[in-house]
Amino acid sequence: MSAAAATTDRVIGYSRAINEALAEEMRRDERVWMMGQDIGRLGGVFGLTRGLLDEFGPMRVRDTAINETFIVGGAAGAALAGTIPVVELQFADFLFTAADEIFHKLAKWRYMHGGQFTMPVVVRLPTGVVGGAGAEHSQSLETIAMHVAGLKVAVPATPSDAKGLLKAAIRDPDPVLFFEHKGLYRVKGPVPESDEHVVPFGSARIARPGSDLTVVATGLMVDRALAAAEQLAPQGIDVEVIDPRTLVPLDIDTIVSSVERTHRLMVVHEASRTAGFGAEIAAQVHERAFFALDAPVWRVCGTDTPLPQDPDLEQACIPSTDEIVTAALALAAI
Amino acid sequence: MAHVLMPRLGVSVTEGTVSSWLKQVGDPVEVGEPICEVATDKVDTEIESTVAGVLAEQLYAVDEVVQVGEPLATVTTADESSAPAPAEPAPAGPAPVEPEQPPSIVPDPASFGDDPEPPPAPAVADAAHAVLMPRLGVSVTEGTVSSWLKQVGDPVEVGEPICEVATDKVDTEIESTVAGVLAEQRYAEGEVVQVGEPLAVVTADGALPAAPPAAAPAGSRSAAAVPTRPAPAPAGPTVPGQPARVDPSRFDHHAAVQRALETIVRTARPAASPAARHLAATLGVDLASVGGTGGGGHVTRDDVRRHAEQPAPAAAAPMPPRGPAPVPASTPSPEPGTTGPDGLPVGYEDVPYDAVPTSRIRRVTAEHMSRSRRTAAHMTTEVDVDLGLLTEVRARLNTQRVAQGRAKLSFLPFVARAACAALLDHPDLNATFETERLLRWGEVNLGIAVDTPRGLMVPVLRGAERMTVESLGEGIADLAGRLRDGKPGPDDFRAGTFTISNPGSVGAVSAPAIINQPQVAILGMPTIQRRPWVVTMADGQESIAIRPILRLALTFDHRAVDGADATRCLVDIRRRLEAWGVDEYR
Amino acid sequence: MNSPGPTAEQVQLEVYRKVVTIRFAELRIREHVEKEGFGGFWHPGIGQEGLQVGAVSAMQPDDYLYYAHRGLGYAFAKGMELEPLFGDLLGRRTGSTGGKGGGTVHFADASRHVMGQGGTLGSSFVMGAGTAAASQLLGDGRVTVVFFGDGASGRGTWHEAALQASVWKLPVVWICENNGWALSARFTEQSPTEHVADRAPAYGIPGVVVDGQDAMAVREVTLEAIERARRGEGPTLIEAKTLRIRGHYEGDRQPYRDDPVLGDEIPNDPVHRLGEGIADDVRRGIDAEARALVDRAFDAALAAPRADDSVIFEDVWA
Repeated sequence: MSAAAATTDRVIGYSRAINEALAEEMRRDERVWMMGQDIGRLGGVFGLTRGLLDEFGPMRVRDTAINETFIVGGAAGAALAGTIPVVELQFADFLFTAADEIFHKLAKWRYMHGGQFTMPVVVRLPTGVVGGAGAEHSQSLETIAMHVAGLKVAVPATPSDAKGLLKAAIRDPDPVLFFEHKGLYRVKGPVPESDEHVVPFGSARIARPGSDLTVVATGLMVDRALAAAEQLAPQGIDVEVIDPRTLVPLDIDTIVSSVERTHRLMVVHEASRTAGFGAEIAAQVHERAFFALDAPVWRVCGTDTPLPQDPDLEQACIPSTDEIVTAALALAAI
Repeated sequence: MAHVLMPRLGVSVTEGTVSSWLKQVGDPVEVGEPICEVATDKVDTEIESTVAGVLAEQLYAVDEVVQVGEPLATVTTADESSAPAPAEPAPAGPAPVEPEQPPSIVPDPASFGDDPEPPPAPAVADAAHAVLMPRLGVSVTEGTVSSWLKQVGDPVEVGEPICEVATDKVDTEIESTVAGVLAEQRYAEGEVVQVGEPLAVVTADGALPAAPPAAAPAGSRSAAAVPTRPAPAPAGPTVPGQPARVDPSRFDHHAAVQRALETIVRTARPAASPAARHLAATLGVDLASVGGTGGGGHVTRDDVRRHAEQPAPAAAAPMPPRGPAPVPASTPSPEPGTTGPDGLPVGYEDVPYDAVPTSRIRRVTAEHMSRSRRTAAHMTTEVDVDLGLLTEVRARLNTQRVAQGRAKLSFLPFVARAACAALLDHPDLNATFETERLLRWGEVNLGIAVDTPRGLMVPVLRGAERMTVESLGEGIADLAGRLRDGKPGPDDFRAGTFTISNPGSVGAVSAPAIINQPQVAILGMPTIQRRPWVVTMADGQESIAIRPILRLALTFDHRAVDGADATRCLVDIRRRLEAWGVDEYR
Repeated sequence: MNSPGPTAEQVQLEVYRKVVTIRFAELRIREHVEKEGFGGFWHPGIGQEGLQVGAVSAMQPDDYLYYAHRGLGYAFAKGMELEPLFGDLLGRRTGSTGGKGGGTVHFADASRHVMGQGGTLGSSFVMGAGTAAASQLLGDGRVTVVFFGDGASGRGTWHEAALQASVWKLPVVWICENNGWALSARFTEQSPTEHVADRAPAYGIPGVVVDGQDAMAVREVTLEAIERARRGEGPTLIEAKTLRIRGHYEGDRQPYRDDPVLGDEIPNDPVHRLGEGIADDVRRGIDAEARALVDRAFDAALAAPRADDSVIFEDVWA
């Protein structure tokens, strides 16, 4: 296969991209295995692991009971013994049911024990609102993961990044919380046809270049920010959209250099406003690029409320394209 | 310890520059005694002490800018200076009580209903803050509360109007100097309040602190005196001094922008984005001299750049350091290589120059003039006026006046008198244009552009249409005298409706001018020239004679007035000047 | 497999040597804590050394050990040297964690498969099961042994781990050191059953109760459980009955305690029981050697440099 042929883009779905990443990495490395609820026979509640049981067998694609502390804690123990577990919590919200295992065992084991161990665990976390899943199945909790040192945090927004970042996560010696957006599972996009399509952590993607306003968005919000940018362009506001792709490590340099060009920054996230990662990015930009700013750094975020179960009310709790446009116009007016 | 605050020296004055200190640290000062001189863009004035005692500290050096409402000086009252008291309870008597203290971040203990211990007395004293009746002009000593804008229990922010006060000079809103909750209105509507007296009390929770009984020893306070009513539930965001509450409501982007812009007013400092500040520092631009076009009037990067590009090297040169400056600011720079990137116009680097800092009046004038030029559609119409008859009238009048021991009148009051009369018939030129409407002013407040050593100033004669030519003359002389002595009041400059500019006094032969906003017209008066003039003799024959001719120029805002109407007004002025009878216009 | 294993006497001598060494170490640490203070909490394991050493003596070098928080017996028995263990206690650069693990220690030795410890009790249930799952996947024949106290037996992680490990027949052995006290909570007041081991049948696994003061008896039941696990028959729960001689931590005045406070009187002292069959001169020789070994190691640890601030920023991410 020629190099050119190896990188031909196809258009596939976000789910399919994740499935491909899992299969390719399990083929590449026998130490990679998976466990979680309903991932085997069912292929996952969202269908992400379909076909993997057939190809890799029940020892490498293991259905568990409803026992998140075992799924994550067991993965930690299995990683210490030389395997690479990729586990799925059915909803990102369940990281609270395995909080001790995530924030203490995954995040700190290496540190507490003087660097004698690595913790190559990937926890796949279907995140965000998906339509009526309710307050305990719809949250965006990536900021919580950012706050505890020792974890890495990925927030892919496109099929290409979903695949490339997941492959990078599986090859990473550190524990990775991989926030897959449930609302993006059916979104299609170009993905390079290559076993080595690996997107390195800590490299932001400029999803749309622009000159008047920088918008940082992740996950589902990237598409909405792009749609808002198209609406704002005829009004004379040329928006640059940046997708950080990973929040730990965070590519603040790309954001800062963009702000140095546009002089205005807005962070859009689905997570609740208070102490969301928008606050962190705002603080870092103020620390690093204060004198580049023409206006306060702005946040467009989810409400500081639990998410109601009704799908319409749920959408009213997270930033819409209209709200991004409104906020951008308000910001531009300063 | 009490403060003398920078008073409000006019409705639109927000700051002033200390020009000299009249009292030094250690000097005794009386209430009403001038302690320093302050220059504003409108007026130079002496600031009088509002407290008796000994001057303890000058909080601003000469040439430093002080915001209205900020403490200028600290005065130790007689009691304190003899025996320095520790933590003081609320001072008794008329002395102002710390009006400018920031609100405490510690919640008032009195607001905790379940606290069985009586809170210590000093906390109560600290929690109360009086909003004082400010000085609204040099000669204003009192005002009448015309209406309350905030009621007891309302949250108030610093800078937020709490009531309206009418004085004999001005009606104005009084802004709170304290953030918190309005606890007491000290005067009812219609009552008269003296300058410096507390108008209102603002506390952290809106509860009035119990006044400590005069005989009670400091620090003792009965639990029964603790007001027990619950803290009012404020409607808006967190009240300073109160514990923050959770607020899950939807974020309002536009309200947030408004709040951000309101800080520009509240903090009363030159507002600029960080990027604009950085650019100004790089280019050596004084932010205070840049007119802001951003939201809330803040200075943007473009404003700074435009300002720096103005072809005025002196303005772009950095201000000399304040305070003792042994090096003259006018050091010439003969070597091309030493000029550096000082913001000199390109190509001028090898031209020797003096960097003369511009005065505040210069900068204000510059801003004022360029704004007028930008906004108004300037057009000038001119007529020649034969002053032959008026010359004789004036000479007769002056003969009488000299006999009475009074000063002679120049031609200016005659022109002013004719203009006032004409304006009553042409009210569209005594007006303010606001696109949607034209405000025809009901009186002629006549501005007279005066060339002073400090720069151009335009004092205003209020109600000039009611004045005789002699009182106009005396009024103009009086204003000029006060300008010369540096003692004009803030009311001497406001509310002008029409202006006369008199470049003839220095020899100009024509006098188009820039309109003095927000007026719509200005009358320019050049020098009177004796010219050969075609005259009609008594027999109807024409002849050429030497006549004193004045070429009056009326510059008007074509947005507000059409050329024909403006010219009709000017012709009316000419008619009145040429047909002046001795008994007219007295 | 072909080399003849050690004789019973040799095994007993070795267990004795390790138990008595740990006893001296316990006493040396207590002396230090009492005289010098301590930058953390030391949870003494005195009186419980026998079951720790006896059980670990049943493990192969490649087997995985998750120890509990009471004492050093497990790690020393698994082959770790004393000096790095003391170094961890004293915050020295020479500690096995490079100086981070002072106080309630997180000593570890990856090469000896001493896997470390979580600060939240009961986390080893699920981690140990996961390690066993890795062995099962890799087919490496290793068994994971997890120690825990009667207090930690209340954690929900026990249920999640035991259920999954039993279903998957994971090679893991759980050993409960039941000393009767979970800090101030009496086991009898927090357990509806007489024994922790009574809970095993619910998960379809064997539950075994053994006298924890009898090191050799503990060794025997552990050997059996490990062999069962290695054969692929799944986990075993062993409960070793023992006593908490000291407070929860050294310095705990134990005001809550209504049973006789034991001081240094150790009923059924495992040291004495192990020493019974050993000739006096041999025993005295072992004792002197053990004391010297402890003193040398402790002095060396004390002399080692303390960890400096740079340690703070090491090993957060790989």
